[in-house]
Parts: sequence; structure tokens; C-alpha cells
Amino acid sequence: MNLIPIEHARADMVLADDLRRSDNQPILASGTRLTDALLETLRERGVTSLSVRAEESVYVMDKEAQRQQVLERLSYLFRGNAGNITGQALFRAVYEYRMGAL
Amino acid sequence: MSTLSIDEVTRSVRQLPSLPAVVAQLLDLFSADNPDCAAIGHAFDRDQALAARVLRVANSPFYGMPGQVASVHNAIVVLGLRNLRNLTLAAAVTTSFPAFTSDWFDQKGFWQHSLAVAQGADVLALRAGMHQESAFTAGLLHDIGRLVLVTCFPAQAREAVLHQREQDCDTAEAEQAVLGLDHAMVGAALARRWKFPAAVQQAIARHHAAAGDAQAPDTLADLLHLADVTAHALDLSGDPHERVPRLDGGAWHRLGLQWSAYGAALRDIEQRSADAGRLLAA
Repeated sequence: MNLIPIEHARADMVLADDLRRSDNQPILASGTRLTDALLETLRERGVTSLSVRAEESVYVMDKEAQRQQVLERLSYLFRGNAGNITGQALFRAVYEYRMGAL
Repeated sequence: MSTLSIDEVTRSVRQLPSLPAVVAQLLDLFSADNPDCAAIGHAFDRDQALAARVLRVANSPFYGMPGQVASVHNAIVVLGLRNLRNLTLAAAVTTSFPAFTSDWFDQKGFWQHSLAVAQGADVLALRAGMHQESAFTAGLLHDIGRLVLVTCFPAQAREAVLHQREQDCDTAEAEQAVLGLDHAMVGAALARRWKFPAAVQQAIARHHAAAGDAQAPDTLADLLHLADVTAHALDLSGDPHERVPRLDGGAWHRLGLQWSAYGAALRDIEQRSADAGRLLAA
């Protein structure tokens, strides 16, 4: 399961959990396959995030979102290498490796 | 502060069990110019638990012959001598300390990291034209001093771990601040007790401060430092608070590697580290 912002949701992703309103009224059941029309409706209703099956979220998540994710994690991992030129070269090597694998 | 004296730690290291004699014998047999496969088989006969563990891993799908490796002789054929040597060492070392369970030290994550550094050191040694067996051994043992501290001085080791988390600093830095010594020095003492070569002992002692003595550079320590930093950078131990130690520029340049060649090695390191993790489940 993967909680993602609605901007990252795409048609064909499958809900991992029931989607409910803040008063707990159901909107969509777990297992529902999303469509563009459903996503539009959810945005109109003010839904900001939803849980989708992890493997599908990774598959469909666009490359830019994945790049952001890689960059954020690497920046966190390398927090002790600030100002270290060799450490920054290592950062680039690992970043390029991760992006090449996407 | 709960400082430890070097004497205290040395006494504790002396009381730790030796590696089984059969392991030292096997390492000698493997490193011979023309290894005697029959003698290797006989040596394994003396430690059936070790042989069984090695065969369980040799029978994993990774080696392509699942369920078909029935004997050490088969394992030599399927794995090759160098892989069998590394697997034997890893099987012996990862069972050399009792299981330690706590909410502040993840022993499985510790071994995952050690195996990743061993594999990384092995891969990078090939690229740097260095001795791969020494690199693998040093990689496997590089943090073993942490396990000594955790096992023999749990209260002090816990304090160092909590300090490291609070300060978000490197492990060795936290140990120096709290204990007055660090795991690299303790690990080198255990490698000495276990009679590993002097080059391996020294590389373990210097893996966090590879450039510490610019007059007497040690390329095995440099390689170990790079392999350790690489394992952290590849995020291989599953620690959400993972932190990459500062890569020493002098160590990098002394190894003579190019960034393009290094980048090309990362896939191999990551893949082999994942495979090595099977040992912990065997």
C-alpha cells in the first residue's frame, strides 16, 4: 500500500483502501480501478491523497516524481557530506546510477 | 560519559571465543597456490554445521543449481573456489557472536551492511587491481568492533548509539565522544586475535580515517573506506536514518578509480549484496 498525493494518481491505479470522506462516508471501495473521470471527481470533492497498491503506484508514477523521490532520499543520505567535493561527486555517481535504473 | 579504557576492551577481546580452528585451516587451504579440493572436503567434514550452512546457500537459486549441490565437492564445482572461500568465511563469522536483540541495535541490519561492504570491496578491488580476498575479508570484518562493544559493553554501546542518533553524527564520532575509543580500533584487536593478516587488521583500524596518516597511505584501508561509504550511499541496510560518512578525497585519488568505472560497478555491488543477504536467512 502506498499513500500518494492525488497529483501523482493516474488512471489504472487500484485503490488499496476504502476511500472515505472526513465524516467516514464511503466514496470508493478498496479494489476500485481509477479512471480519469473518477480522479477528476475526487479532485472536485477536495480529496488530497489516496492509498493505492504499491506496485502499481511505482509502475505508473511518472519519471519526474521518481526523480524527485531519488533526489530527496539521496540528499538526506548525504547530509553529512556538505562542502565535500569528493562526496558530491559520489552523490552524482549514485544519482546517475539510480536514474539510469528507472 | 562512560569511557572505556583500551586495557578493558583488550581484556574483553581476549575472552571472546576464537574462530573455529577449521575455519583458519580452510582459509589456508583456499589460499594455497594449487588448492587441494580433497583436503577442503575433509576439513568441512570436521564441522558439519558449517558445511550444512554453506550448502544451503549453494543450493539457492542464485547459483543456478537449486537443490542439486549435495556435497562440498559439488559446491566447489558450482560456486568456484573463490566464492566458496568467501561464503565459508561469511558463514563462520556471521555465527561467531550470539544473537543480540534490542530496540537500539539491529544485528541483522549490521550483518547486511557488513556483507554489502565485503561484496563492494571485492568488486572495487577488481577495478582497482587489488587483492580481492583480502578486500572481501576486511569488508566483512570492518565493523566487527561494534559487535564486540555491543556484546561486551552493552550499556556503554547503547549510550553511544543514542548519542549518535541525537547528534546525527557518524558512529565512530559518537563512540569517540562517549566511550573515548571507537569500533575500528576494537575490530582490529579482534582481527588480530582471530589471526587475520596484519594488512586486514590495519585496514579495519583505519577504515574511518583512511587519510589519517598521509605519510604512510594504506590502499586496503582506502578501498575499505570507499566500500563502506558506497554501501551507505546505496542505502543497503534498510535503516531509515541511514547516513553516508564523508568520503575522503585522498583515499579516492590514491585508488586511481574513474567515476565512470565506479558508477558502472554500482549495479554489481547492489546485486551481489542482495544475494549475500541470503546467507543470513540460511
